[in-house]
Amino acid sequence: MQYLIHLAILFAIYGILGLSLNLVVGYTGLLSVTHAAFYGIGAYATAILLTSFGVNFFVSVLAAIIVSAVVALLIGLILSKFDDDYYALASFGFNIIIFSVFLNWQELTRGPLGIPGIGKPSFEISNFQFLISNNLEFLILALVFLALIYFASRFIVNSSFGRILKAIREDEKAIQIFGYNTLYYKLAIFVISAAMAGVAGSLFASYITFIDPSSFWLMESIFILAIVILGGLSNLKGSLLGALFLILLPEALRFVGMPNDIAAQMRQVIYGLILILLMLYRPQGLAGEYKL
Amino acid sequence: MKKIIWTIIILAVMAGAVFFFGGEGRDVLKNDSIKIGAILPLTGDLAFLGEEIKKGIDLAVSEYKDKGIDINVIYEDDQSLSQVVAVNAANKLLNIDKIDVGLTMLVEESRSIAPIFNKKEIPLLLLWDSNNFIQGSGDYIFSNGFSTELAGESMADFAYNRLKIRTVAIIGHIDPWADIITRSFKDKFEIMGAELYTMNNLI
Repeated sequence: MQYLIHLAILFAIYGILGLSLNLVVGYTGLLSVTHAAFYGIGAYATAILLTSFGVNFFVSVLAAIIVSAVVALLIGLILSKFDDDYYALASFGFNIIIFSVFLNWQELTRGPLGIPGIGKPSFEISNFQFLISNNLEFLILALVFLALIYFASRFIVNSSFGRILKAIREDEKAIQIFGYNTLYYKLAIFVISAAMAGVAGSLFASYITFIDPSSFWLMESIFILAIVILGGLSNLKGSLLGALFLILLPEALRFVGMPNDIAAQMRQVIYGLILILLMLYRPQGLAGEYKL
Repeated sequence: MKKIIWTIIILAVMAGAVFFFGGEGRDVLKNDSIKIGAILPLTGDLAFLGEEIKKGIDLAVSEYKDKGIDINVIYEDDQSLSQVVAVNAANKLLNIDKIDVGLTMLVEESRSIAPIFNKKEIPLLLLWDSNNFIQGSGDYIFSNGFSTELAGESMADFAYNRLKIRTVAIIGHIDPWADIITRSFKDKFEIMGAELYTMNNLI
């Protein structure tokens, strides 16, 4: 049961990442490959505030949201000068820059040594203090955050703001002719998405209790993008399905009996093959409405 | 609707596989054997090291088997130090396989899984290196590797006293092991009165 609870916590964290990136990639049509950077910023904000300043976890989540959003605003201003493939490449570059900051700003992040001993969330109401000490309690907290992000995302995509995002994805020039400043909308959704990724980072740091730059490398951005594409672009439930599928699949493969000498390598081959087959037969993803 | 039903069926089968094949309390191995869970880099950049350590463990296990001691090792891959994959592997080994002891290769791998082993009160043994992190990481975390800090200090001592070097330039690699050994070398070397000309790191 503990193992399933652990996987459910990871699902909640990656679900938040999938939902938030879907707003940018699926709904707005911007192929961003820099999400792991905002995820990392959120994780580092929480880790530093908890270990060095003894700040409450929930305050650190707020700080993670603000820092991720501010950095996203600066990055988004530059990214807005790019389109299509160039946008993807530029976003790729920003992931490398942020990763490099995590690795080299040693006074703040401890560089490659990472930050161990990150505390668990706790809260205090009058004289009653509650510390989340086991995984089941952490799962409930993670699911609450996931639900909040899901409903916030649903509110965004069902609003007039969300409809403009879809229109930008379909034909940006056409929507500009109607007088909409698309730069403002693209920047706004990029910042909102990054702030949500910051929340996922806070949960990750507090759950794993140790972070280092390797968790926020380019491959993590590609993994989050895979969640969105595999689950289905422009479909929020698809992002959750994608996260569930990509978290469970490699774990299920651990139980497929294979000779010890080749088991690890074969699992990765099978994992890759399943993804290829899925993209061949369901190019729009598990529940997608739109193809790249 | 049909697509969603198919998706749910696929996910249910996967979840069922995890639950059925890995249900808590399932006896993966014989009850009278010692169960060891080894989390190693079996794929990725460090697989060449992980594979060699795996061969060494297999060799030791076969020697014990000849003596009539039954040891079973369950190997899990951490994809060359992926924190999330290592944590997944640790949770599986501790909660599903119910191992008696855990093995891993590097301090780097142990940072995210040490708290899990400590909480479960199952020993975790590191096979390659050791540093101050291990000392403060809990009662159930051990290492039979060399101390990285001491290695750096020994190098400084050798350079200063045996080679009579008084000025050095350090070109280090950016990774946790290199970071620790560089710092301990530099600190010791400067305490002894030598001069650091320059220090640069490479990825």
